[in-house]
Amino acid sequence: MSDLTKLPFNFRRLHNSVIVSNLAGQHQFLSKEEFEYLVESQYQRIPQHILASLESKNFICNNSEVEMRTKILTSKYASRVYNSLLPPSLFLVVPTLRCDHDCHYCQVSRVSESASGYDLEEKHINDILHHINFLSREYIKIEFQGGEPLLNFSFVKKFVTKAREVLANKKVEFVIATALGPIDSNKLDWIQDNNIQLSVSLDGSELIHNKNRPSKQINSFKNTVDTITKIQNSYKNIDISALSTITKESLSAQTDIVETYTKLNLKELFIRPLSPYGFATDTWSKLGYTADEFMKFYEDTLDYIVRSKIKVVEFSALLHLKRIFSQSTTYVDLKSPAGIVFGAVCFDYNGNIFGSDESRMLWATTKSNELILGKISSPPKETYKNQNTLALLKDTFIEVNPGCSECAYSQYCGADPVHHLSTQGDLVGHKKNSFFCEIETKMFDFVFNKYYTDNSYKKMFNNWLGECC
Amino acid sequence: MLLERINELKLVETNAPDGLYRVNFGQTEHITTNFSLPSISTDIDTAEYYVLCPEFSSSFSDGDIVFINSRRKKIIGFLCKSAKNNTVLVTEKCDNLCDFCSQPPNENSDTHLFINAAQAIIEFNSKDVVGITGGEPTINKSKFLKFIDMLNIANNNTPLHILTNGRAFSDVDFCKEVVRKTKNRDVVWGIPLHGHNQALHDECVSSKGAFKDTVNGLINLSYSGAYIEIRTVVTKKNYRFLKNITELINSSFAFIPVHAIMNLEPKGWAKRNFDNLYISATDQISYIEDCVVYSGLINQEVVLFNYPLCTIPDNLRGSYRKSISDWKNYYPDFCDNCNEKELCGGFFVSSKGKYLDNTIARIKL
Repeated sequence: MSDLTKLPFNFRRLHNSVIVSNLAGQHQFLSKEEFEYLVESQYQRIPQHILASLESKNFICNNSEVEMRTKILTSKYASRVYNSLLPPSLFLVVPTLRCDHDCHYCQVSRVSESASGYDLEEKHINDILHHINFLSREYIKIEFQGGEPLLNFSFVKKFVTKAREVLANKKVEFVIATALGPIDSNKLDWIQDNNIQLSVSLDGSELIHNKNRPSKQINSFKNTVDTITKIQNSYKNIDISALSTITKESLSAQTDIVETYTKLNLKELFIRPLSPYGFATDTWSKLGYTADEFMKFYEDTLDYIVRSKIKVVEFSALLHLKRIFSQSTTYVDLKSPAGIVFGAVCFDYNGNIFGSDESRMLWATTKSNELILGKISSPPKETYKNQNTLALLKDTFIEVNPGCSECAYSQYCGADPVHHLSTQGDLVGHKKNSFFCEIETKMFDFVFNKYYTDNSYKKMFNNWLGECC
Repeated sequence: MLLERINELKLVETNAPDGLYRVNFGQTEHITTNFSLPSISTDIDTAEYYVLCPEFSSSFSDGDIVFINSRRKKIIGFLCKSAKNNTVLVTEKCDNLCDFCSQPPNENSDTHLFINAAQAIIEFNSKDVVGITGGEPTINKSKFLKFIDMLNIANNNTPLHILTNGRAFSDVDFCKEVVRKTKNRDVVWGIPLHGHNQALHDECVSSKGAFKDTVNGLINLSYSGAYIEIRTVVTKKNYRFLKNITELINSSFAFIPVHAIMNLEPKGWAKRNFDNLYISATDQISYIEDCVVYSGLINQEVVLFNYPLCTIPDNLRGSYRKSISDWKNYYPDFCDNCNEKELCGGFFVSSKGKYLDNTIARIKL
């Protein structure tokens, strides 16, 4: 055992344990004592099965293997970066900025339902598809965002029809992110016939949902619940998923969300913290919370799911698990380099192209034109190589970012340059003051800790990974 | 020859010198090429080469490739349309000396084997996969490259499953050359990894330095985009480390489509070392389970080869493969009333008698 040697790794101390991780994207959960033995090279005191895992995962190796193991780590890291730089498959299209809701946490500065000049013109359809075709590979997801996309339904219909033609040799999925206000049977028929998925917001109980998502026209909660029920009964082929944005209002009612979802027989739940940009400062003080407050709520919610054995999959946890175990790069928030362009490309109502939905949001409030990658009308070839895009990307390799480079979670986390630009005026930001960093660190702490110290969590997480790969 | 004989018939009489022939009953049109083998049939009057053998016409059909060995009075089916697996041997030399080797190596000359294999594959011209085995097919790099060249020059595009220990691919230039020459052909590389570290793997294959070569080979080949099936033969030495081998695969190489966990086949040297090597399937299962569950988390496909189905718990059945070929398996008496026989690969014929895993009692009736 004396001929074993350590390869580079990062570590983070949890309660009575330590997580170690390395550039191959591997991690190992160690007890405090095992970690000390590892650090002090007292390998014979580490249980054999742990030692074998440390060796298999390239944390330690025989002295004579160092050269080979170094090659393994460098090539594996290179391939992980490469996987982050594969062409994007997610494309966001904003048919209109008009909306029938007045959500307090709206980050896109939506305009009233009747405002004019906020619709994406149909003449752009061909150009957008040209961009998508240029950027994408075989699999494409096109998501209509708003505003409320259904308020410009004729655009959506024309776009889908044309996309099926132009992208005939690719596999395309369509999603409409909608608050379900302007929906009717005609629209639902078309949505079902065209195999379109719906992504809706459902923030919890009637009280909380309607506080978060007021509308002058409708009772948003009742309309959402009724429409989901109608779809479940009469439009069985429409795939509908829901997400919950958490505000200060939600924090005190942790079982509400799960109960609402269970009553509606929804099997998937996606709990999202607020992102503190796109807001006026006073909005954050009304809606916002500390990372600890959010995590308390989040953990209570997951505890409730695990103890009550409710069959619902929570996607925030699942996306973190997939990032940890299968090094998935499909979740744009958790990518290094950041998911700018390579995570998603956003075609805004006014003809601008952004490298992420967050860029669009930040532009909406700041009008910082540096965030714009280009115009829908410009040729794709010349759009994605400009200096601003490169600047947004090149500082987002978190393995070398200050504050991230020594973090055990840098193998799994993301950079979110737009968040840091918005909150700290800098693409990298000081991670000590970063809400993103604080939430993500606590999220990974939670997921690792529960996975390795609580068997009922481990079982549940394994099931989620097994079902949703 | 150490070929697995799918079809071996007793030869009564022939005018054909020893060698490869293409079966031709005249039922299908055959286009002769520069690479054509002589044809052979049972027609003593008109055929240039004939065999007298009562079972010949019922055993072979037009286009099958046979080997005539008049000294031993044998006709060997080399590549047959009716066979489920067609495998050709290209060398008997090997740089590993696995103590469980089912076809123990020797130093016999192999040029004729390479040439026979290439000619047979070209003439057989199958769209179905043909297996290439040894010995170690890449032990002589230039011979292996020439073999691939022969197939390419003849415009052959038969898909190949090549069993190699991967050591030769630690040579980057060789790896590049092979990848270049096979870029228009479907090739699956079956590469063994029996341990998660040098000590264990080198011990299993009785060759110092094998682990380093194979791992470096796997790095080079996997990052070239080759389709690789990693194979682990389970023995007393490594059964506790199956999950670790999966961990090594996950942490070290580019995407590996399949990791095959293989129960020992009592054949060749595996028979000689059986007691030192064989660990009963029932004792393996908890380790196999750890490995399969972990593989699910990391999105690595694992398949289980050569196990009787009754040893596999329900939660692992997705990974089970009925892998023992029909002509190599049998079902002992205790399987008589089992209602899952159809789904089960049974046991190797070679495990009859003292090599039978007698811990297997959990039979589903």
